[in-house]
Amino acid sequence: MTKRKDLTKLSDDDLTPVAGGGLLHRRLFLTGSGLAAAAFAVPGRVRAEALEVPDTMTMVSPEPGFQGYGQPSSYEAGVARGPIAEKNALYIAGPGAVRSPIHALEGMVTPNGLHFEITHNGIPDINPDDHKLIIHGLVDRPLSFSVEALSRYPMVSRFYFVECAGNSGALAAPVAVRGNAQTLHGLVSCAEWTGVPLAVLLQEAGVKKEAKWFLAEGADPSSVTRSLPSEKAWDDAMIALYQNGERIRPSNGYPMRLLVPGFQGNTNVKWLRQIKLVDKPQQTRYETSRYSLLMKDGRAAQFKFPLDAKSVIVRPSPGVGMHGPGLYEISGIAWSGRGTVKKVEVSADGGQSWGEAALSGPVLPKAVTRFRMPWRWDGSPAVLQSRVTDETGYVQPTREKLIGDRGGKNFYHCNCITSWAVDAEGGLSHVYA
Amino acid sequence: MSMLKSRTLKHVFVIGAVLALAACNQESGSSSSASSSTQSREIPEGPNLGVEVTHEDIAAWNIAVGPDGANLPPGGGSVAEGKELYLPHCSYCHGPNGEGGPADRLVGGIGSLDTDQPVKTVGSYWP
Repeated sequence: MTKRKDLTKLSDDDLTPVAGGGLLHRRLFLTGSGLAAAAFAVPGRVRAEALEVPDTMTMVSPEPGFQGYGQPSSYEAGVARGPIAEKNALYIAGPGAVRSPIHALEGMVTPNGLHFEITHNGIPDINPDDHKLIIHGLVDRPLSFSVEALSRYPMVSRFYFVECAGNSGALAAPVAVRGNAQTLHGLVSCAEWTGVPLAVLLQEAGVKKEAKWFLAEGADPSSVTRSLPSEKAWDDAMIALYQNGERIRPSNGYPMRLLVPGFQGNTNVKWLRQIKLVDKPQQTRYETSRYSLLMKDGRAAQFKFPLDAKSVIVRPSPGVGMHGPGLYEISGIAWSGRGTVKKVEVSADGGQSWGEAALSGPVLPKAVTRFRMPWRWDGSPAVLQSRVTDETGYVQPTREKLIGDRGGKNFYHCNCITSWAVDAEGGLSHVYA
Repeated sequence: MSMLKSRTLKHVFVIGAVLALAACNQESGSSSSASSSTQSREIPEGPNLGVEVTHEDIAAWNIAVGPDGANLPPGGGSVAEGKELYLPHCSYCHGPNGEGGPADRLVGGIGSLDTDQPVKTVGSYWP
């Protein structure tokens, strides 16, 4: 009832911008009062072309027919991860990354085939019958678990984002890199993960009191290994077996991966083969030479696990421009490694004024949250930005503040505000503003 | 200069984890322990399907080598002998002399970490 009451407050005044550059009230599209239609009303409306009944309605299409595992429409072939490395003479099969086409997706869930991937030395082809998870170290009983055994444990299902620590790292560059939402920010995805709480397995093994950390190791040829605080194991870590309802994809850790919600991507160790309880961090390669944060003075910060809140507008964005003045919906994604998204604000004038966007639920902790904002673009140049505030009160910083505070040598954990410049033709580009 | 840098490396410090997870900071001397956490969170009972393994089993299976060299197989050799191994096994990706290949360079960068062009290698950066 409260919601309905709010809606009645909307009036023609709500077509008055709430912030500079033509940003409108976030509830405009929800009123059903005809206001949105009024906003859409354009003098000299375009006439439709002659309407024809298509062949697909009068004849049965032989293709694609039923498929054992369904594929997207052939017309969506352009929605793909990238870049895919060319297998030329210099090609190395091992390390690499492909980014999620976030500019082409909606809602909060990333389809499994479009989830971003990073490998440090290739994707192992693991037969689940041969795979084991061994829990040892400072425990009463070292234990081995087969995939089949873990599949019989009580499970939980949770929506969590996974984001690479290096996502958006290009924004640390001294000049604005040419790129789009996918190439700059596509190392984040969100899925429903189902698996066994790590705490259940640790309880079974009996963890000794001095085991303040645990070492998680993957079964890939680079043995990605990370030291993680045991507190996380007792909190919300899980051994994930399923991703969006099906078994985890090979590139995302088949047959099992560690899920440490909100922590930097690589700590969610894929192809998990061992959990070793230890008394202190083990200083592995992936927490020293990689994924440590080089500071201004040449020292490095380690073990910065939670990813700070970030948001980015994905539509419009470079390559996804506007077609003439009129009413548009700005759509974007926000997330925080420290909990839920509390608020997202949008600016169309480079951060001089802000309007609050609508959060398109569900709004879940450590998951991607979709935000939306109506915008009446008058055809003049603009600079679009978004900034998120999470449940801790943390506000996404400007680039100037983030880089000013810590210097530009470290491209990890780069969560500053992104600016898209809109030109008079409706094209967008990445800028520093 | 290089001595200074290697000393600086020893001052790698820990943030973030300490701030976010103070309860598990082994230096804090807090009384938080795994067993008390276990009790307070009401962890569901599983079907107890873990198979007990011996330390001997684990020793054979655990092939990871620690950053301090722990768990390395027995053996040794000279720099010259190492070069004979490096060339066929490593140089394709890391270059014939530890740089210039498509993968990470392994040498150089000493003294560069507090400049605008830091070069992170085994020599300059890794502890």
